[in-house]
Amino acid sequence: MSRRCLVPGGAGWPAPVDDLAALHPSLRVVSLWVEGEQSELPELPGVAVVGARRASVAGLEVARRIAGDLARRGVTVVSGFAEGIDAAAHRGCLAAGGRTVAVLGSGLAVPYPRAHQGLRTELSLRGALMTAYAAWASPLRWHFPHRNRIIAALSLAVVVVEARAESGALSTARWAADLGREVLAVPGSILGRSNDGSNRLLRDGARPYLDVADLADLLPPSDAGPPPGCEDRRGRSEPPQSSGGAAPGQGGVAAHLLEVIGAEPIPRELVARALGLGARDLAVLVGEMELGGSVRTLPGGLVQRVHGPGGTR
Amino acid sequence: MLFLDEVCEFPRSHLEALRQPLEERRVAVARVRATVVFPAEFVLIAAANPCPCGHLGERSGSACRCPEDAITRYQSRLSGPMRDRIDMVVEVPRLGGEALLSGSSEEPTALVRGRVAAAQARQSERGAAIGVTANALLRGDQLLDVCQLDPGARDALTAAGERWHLSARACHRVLRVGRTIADLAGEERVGRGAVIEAFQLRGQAP
Repeated sequence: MSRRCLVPGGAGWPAPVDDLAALHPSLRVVSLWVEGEQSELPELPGVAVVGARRASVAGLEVARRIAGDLARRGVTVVSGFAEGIDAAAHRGCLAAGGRTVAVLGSGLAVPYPRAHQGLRTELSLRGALMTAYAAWASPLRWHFPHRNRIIAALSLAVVVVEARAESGALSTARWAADLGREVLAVPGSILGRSNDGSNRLLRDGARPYLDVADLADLLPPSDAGPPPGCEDRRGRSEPPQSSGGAAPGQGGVAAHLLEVIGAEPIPRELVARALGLGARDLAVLVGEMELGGSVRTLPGGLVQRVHGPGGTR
Repeated sequence: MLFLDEVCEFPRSHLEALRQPLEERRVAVARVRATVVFPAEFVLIAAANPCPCGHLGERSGSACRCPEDAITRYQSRLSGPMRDRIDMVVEVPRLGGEALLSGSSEEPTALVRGRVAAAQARQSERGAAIGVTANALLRGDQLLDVCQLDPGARDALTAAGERWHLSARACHRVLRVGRTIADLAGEERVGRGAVIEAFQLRGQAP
């Protein structure tokens, strides 16, 4: 693996970081450690996708999708390599064939978070890890606000996904606002507290993120188009269960089921109630549709609609 | 009946020792002088929490406080081959206070008992010819005969096998459960619905 140290004005130094020094001289970043197999950093500034460590299944899916969309536009995805939304953003970007930068709150020699060593390998092959801390620096609590302002500086815009009121992602958003970067937030449910922070950002004037078009004015025109080889529409168009053995009249119920369940995972018993089906009939119906690839079941007795790129089927 | 509560708290080596008796229905104890084989016919029932704190996947949002790697470590106590040998996974969500107090409208156990007894009678009657008294004891080569899959069921089995890369053992296990579902419903042949339901019970989502 190759690690190197960048200094201001030296080769490979990401110039957007200097905007911090323009904000206040004490914020100047004097060196950055970088780990990555490719000699050049992914193109910066990119777009940051940040959010909660403990995110819901839906939140992770949202982060993955946003990062994938950005990757297909050829935009670098910047995030903080934490568990939850951050990791989902990195993964979504890599899966769509894009390049991504992880800014750490610890030194490059410290395996933190431990669960992410696989992601780390992939990231250093096709993106870069970056930190302002020396190799063996621990992930100390006060490192993370510092890391957050580097994330903000390296980005044209910061997209906040599922952040609680006390989330560190909000500090990234604040730094972004101070630096004159655009702040966006994905609107979330007002039940529970898991979207409090991101929804409050919206109330305070952040731009809502509904799809990648909300970033269109910030991004360079997509002359490159989607990079070749990104697996969007998988080639195998699945014929909708043409076997003669299927229960008659199932098509209608199946369509109804897809109407009832959305992209947000919902409990099976609610679906059963809405459709007026018993547990057994629902199991058969859901199983049938899972086999066809239009629905998936999740831990906790939840079902979710699977969105092909650009809607269903 | 062997019931292991908190199965993920058992050392992995102990759990792996169950593989032979689960598959062959006997235990071979090898000592210096001799090897003794004991019969070990049992139904394994195991209970586990989804994560060390027990709150993972709960509806009320992010109640789980376990770090990701702790969850992975916890769940990996039950190895892939062991999971492959478990036919039915039933999630038991936490009941809210309201649901507990409201009294349930579920079917009374006595009714279910009647259905189970009828299914068992059907199994032993059918199995008498080949000397097998329960669906669980059907060998792979006997299964297709006994199940009388209709074409739709056959399609579902092959499609699911391909989609989720199922082992031959897993497919056989699905058929045994499917046969039992059909028996409970009083059906002669195993239809597509029974096969699909068996897959759902397996919790085979990728």
